[in-house]
Amino acid sequence: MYTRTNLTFVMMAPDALSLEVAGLCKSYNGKTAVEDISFSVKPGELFGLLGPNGAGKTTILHMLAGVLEPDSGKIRLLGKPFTFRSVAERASIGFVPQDLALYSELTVRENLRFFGGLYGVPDHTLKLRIDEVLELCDLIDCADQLAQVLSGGKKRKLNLALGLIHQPSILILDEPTVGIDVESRVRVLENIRSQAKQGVSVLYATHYLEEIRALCGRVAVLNRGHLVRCFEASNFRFENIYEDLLSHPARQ
Amino acid sequence: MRAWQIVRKDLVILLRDRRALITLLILPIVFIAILGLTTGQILTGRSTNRLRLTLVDQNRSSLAQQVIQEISKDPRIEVELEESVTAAEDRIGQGASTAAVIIGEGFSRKAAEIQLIDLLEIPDRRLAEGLGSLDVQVRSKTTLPLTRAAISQLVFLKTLQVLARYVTSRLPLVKAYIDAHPQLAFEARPNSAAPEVNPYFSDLIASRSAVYLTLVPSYTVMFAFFLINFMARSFIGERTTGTLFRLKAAPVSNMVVITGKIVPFFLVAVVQGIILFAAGRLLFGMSWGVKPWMLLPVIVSTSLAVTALGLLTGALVRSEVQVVAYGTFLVVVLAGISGCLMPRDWMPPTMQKVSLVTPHAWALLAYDQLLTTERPDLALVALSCAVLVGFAALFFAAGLICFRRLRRNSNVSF
Repeated sequence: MYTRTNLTFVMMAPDALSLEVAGLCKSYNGKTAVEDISFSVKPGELFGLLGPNGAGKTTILHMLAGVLEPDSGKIRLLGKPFTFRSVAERASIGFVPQDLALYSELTVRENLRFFGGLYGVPDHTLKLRIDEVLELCDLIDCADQLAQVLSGGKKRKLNLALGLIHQPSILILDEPTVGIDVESRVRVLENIRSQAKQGVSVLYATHYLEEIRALCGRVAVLNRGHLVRCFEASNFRFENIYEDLLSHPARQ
Repeated sequence: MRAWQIVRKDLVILLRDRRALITLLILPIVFIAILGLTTGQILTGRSTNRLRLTLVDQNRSSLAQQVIQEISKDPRIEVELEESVTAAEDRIGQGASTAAVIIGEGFSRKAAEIQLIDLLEIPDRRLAEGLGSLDVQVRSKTTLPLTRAAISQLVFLKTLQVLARYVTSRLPLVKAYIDAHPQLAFEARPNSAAPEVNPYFSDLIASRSAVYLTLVPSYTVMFAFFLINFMARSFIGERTTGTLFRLKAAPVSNMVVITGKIVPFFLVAVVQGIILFAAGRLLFGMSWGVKPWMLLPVIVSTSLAVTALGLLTGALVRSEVQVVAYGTFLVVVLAGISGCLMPRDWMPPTMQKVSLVTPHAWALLAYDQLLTTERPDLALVALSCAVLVGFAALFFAAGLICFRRLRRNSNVSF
């Protein structure tokens, strides 16, 4: 099995995991945000994190992206330990935050060039890669427009494109389709699916059940900071999830 | 090299912000031009830089005329004659004259009483009361007591020059000598050479641009510190637009991010300083002093202090509103304390010492040495630069500590 890390392919054992999370905990000012979260993601797998608002999805993703320091627990990335202080390892992660995170004063192309450079994409391949991502995310027609004049849907696509520019091995997506029309949503989901087909491990957080059902192979259900269920999407009755979301995790 | 990506990105964003550029580059020049026009008279005496005196001769003797001639031939003094004291006071009230010199009716009588010994032992004899001993008065606005005292001393000196010739010429020995050498008689050479002034400073004094030697450095320093608002806004902007998450998720250390964030503003501060001094020279004709190249280290060290204070401010504020409130307060208060808003020489000695707690004051001290003195004290300039770098180190360390504390309490800090 091969997986990509920043434009290079590294060989992994066939049963190797892209991401392993064990006993992850985080609290803010004494209030528990997430507790004892454990799961793993295989190369090329689409793994869904499903839960209502406040379930702890974003907190988990921020810890996995290295933005937030866990109180306890361990993360292994491509078989190696990953901590809040790891720097070089972050190059293999593509992080797409829930809120739009782009420079509105820069053009679409300049945004991509900046983040590509920041992730160490060499100059001689960056231009080509920018064109690829523009094509992939349907942004070619607005490549030289300032991000601030883009429509909401285009901004979402750019938000996703910025996470893809350096060809990450692991893509962490935090509700990437919030606030965009149906057509754009379909395109975004297609892009994510194509990334997984190319061997990218995708961690997809959302509270939209239908997206999880359409996209993910395995799903973890979160409620009030606890992982209440983890299952294969293909042989599960999604209607049962409502019980998980309505029940208190402490009773399970 | 990855810091360079952030530097380039922030430079592009800053250069696209026309309002920021206007505030940083055009506004200071406009400010300096307006203040140069409106306060030129206060700071340099007049646009022509000459002291304006109104003379009233109530004595009408030849000796009084000689005193008036002695005063008039000084190139630094512009003399107007008035018939009455009231008219002279009106000129002062209208701002047309700085002071009035009134040669009283008793002047020639009192002058006739002066002996050689009175000239040799001024404090203990007839001239002990200065101009008052000769029935000569100097009047000015009550708000300018120091100016009045200085003018009194100047007029007294001119009067003594006339009296010295007058008194000595009455001595029999001197009289006999002058009779033997008629070309030495003071009546025969009423116009002696003008007092010598160092050419550099005579140019400076006569120049309309002298006022800009105060205004350009003062407002260059003040507007450099305006950058802290833009820096703090840039840090806040990264937080509010969510791009901070992306920067933190990128494979670069916090120090690289912070370096990338502050370098563009340092470069802008340096360029701003150079442009403002160039504008001072090209637009206002100001002098760069006898060692122009020494201005550069002062600009650079000031820019370091500015960017480090911007980093600290960025770490302390939490919103755009706080940037406007605290940032502007900081800029205005520090400018006021340091002497950017008025010449430092006007400040009381205690305040001059207090002002040294600000980086602005050290920058102004260095500029003052380089621009207004014939032989700049380079040790003082070097000390000022070192203190500015020290301020930068202090602010930078404090900024990093504040960012670390913020990061401990939330996930939205550098």
